Amino acid sequence: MHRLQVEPGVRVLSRLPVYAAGIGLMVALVLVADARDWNGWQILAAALGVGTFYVVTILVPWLVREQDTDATETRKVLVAEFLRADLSSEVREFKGGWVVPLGDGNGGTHESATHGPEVMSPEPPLALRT
Amino acid sequence: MSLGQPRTRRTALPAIDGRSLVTHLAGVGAIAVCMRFVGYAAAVSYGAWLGRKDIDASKVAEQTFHISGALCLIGALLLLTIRG
Repeated sequence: MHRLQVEPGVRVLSRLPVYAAGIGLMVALVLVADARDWNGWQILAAALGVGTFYVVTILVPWLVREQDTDATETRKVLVAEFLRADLSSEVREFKGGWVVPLGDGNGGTHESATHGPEVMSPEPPLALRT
Repeated sequence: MSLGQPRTRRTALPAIDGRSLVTHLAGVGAIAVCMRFVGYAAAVSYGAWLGRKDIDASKVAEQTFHISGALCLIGALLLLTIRG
């Protein structure tokens, strides 16, 4: 499947809230363990509990939503490529999830496209909607 | 240390011995592996709850492993630095 390549710096920035929450929980755990003089097993048990809470409630929902965003962006790129490659002679605009044909729908001219669509296809095919 | 007992103030950070470092790193690895399984199970459950079948649970588990491992490593080093 076609996937968008997201730069690592952008990815880290977009995940900053998740990382901040994890660091906050981790620092809190370390401070509590130090203040109460927990032994190693106590710290391990607490870390497993806190980690499970963090993974289940914060990290995994975020990563799943991130995958959803990637898939949406990929769909947009695929539709744009499809329109550019295959329908460039018939379709000029792709706006708001609707395919707008040129002019009267039989080819049209550049002028008709710049002045907005005169005819819209009443029911665009499902594959061309975002 | 019981509650109410005055704490002795630390004057310097304790030294880190090799055995303690290895023990902490082993704990970090164990927690990260556990979180990988937890992440996989959570991704599968969350996907089923949302009614979506296109979620890549293995990728979520791998990312969970990396992120939780990095956080645990930072925490272990912090704990080692504080307590020795």
